[in-house]
Amino acid sequence: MIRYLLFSVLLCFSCASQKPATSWKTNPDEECILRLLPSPIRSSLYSANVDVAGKHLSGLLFIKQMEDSSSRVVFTSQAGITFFDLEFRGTEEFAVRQVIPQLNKKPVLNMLREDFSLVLGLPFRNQRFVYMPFGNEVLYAPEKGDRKAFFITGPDCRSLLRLATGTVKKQKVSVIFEGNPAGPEGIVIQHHNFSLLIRLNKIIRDNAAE
Amino acid sequence: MVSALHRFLAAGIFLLIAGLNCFAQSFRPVADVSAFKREFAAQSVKVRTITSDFRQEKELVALTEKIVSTGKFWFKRDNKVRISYEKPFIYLLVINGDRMVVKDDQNESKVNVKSNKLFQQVNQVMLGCIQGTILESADFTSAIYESGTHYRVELVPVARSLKQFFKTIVLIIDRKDYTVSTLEMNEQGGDRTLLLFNNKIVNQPVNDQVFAL
Repeated sequence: MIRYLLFSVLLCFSCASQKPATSWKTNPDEECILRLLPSPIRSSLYSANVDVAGKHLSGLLFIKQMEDSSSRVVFTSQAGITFFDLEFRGTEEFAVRQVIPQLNKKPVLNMLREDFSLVLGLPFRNQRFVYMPFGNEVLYAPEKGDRKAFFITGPDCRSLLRLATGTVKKQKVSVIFEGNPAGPEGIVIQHHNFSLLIRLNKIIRDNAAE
Repeated sequence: MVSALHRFLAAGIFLLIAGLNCFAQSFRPVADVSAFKREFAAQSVKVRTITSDFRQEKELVALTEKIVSTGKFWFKRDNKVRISYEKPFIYLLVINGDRMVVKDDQNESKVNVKSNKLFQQVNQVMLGCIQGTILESADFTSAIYESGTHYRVELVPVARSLKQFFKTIVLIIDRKDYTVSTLEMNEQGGDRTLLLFNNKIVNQPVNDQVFAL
């Protein structure tokens, strides 16, 4: 009896000293989700700076919501050459409308698809969510699927901290919005498992001149 | 009835005159291409410098969007070009012989144009258009048209590396001084970039410092 009691006490101490259980919970704070769920980016033009493996490239990135509710992401040089034109319809449908030969490689296109799907908030559209408090953050992931895309808020749900893909403990890509996520002034896309950083700064266009 | 007939005839004559007027403004094939090429080359050599404003319109056809930018342009013979985008973004491109500098809002890169074949070709196209040597290039076939005030040169790339990017390049050349008023780049995917040069000043002294790398 005493051995059983001792064993139980040791077991409880052992459990207490480990990290908190990381499990997804149902019944998230719906009001928080409503307020902070990333909404589709309105049509916007950004100056883009890409730093990859010690090299730098810049251009213009145009994101547009089309009338048929697809999204287009077009990257051009400042002098006007189109580097790529990608079309997204939800998370399932993706088409490369145009791409220069130097970028027309499967790993590159897959990466662009994943990164911009996240920027556009596509994994989170029309979903029910589960949540997980983790350290000083709360992660929200779609209830269905592999739960490898999530949006992250502070514990008090005051702001959207970032979007991410990967696992809870090891995030692969982070997206941080500066300003209103529906039309952010800045977007930073950071890869964590290799050296790639994309910075987008919104360009205010003079519609009268156009 | 006579009055109605007169009105009908008057309208017809008016339309005919209007049509003829339009025809006079539109382009027709140049009769003597060799003579044009000789004159173009001869006049281009007289252009030592160009200073100009520019307006660039990038048309994203599928998105029915146009991205407009403006800036300043300098050219000095030989092989010196400075293109400074000022609105709505800052971007600088300076070509000085075989070397090129590109400066955006975060970074400055120096490139030896000779180290990259594609850079070399694009460099040659740009300088060729400005210096009037583009018609001699084996990288393009050309068709030449004229109107009362301008020439229109349509270039179709032959080189595969240029063909990947451009379907055609069109130059609109001012007849009075043989300088380029408009440069139009039509991409294979349907998008188009138009570069309109205005407030052009030809052969004004331009300091070499403008093209310092």
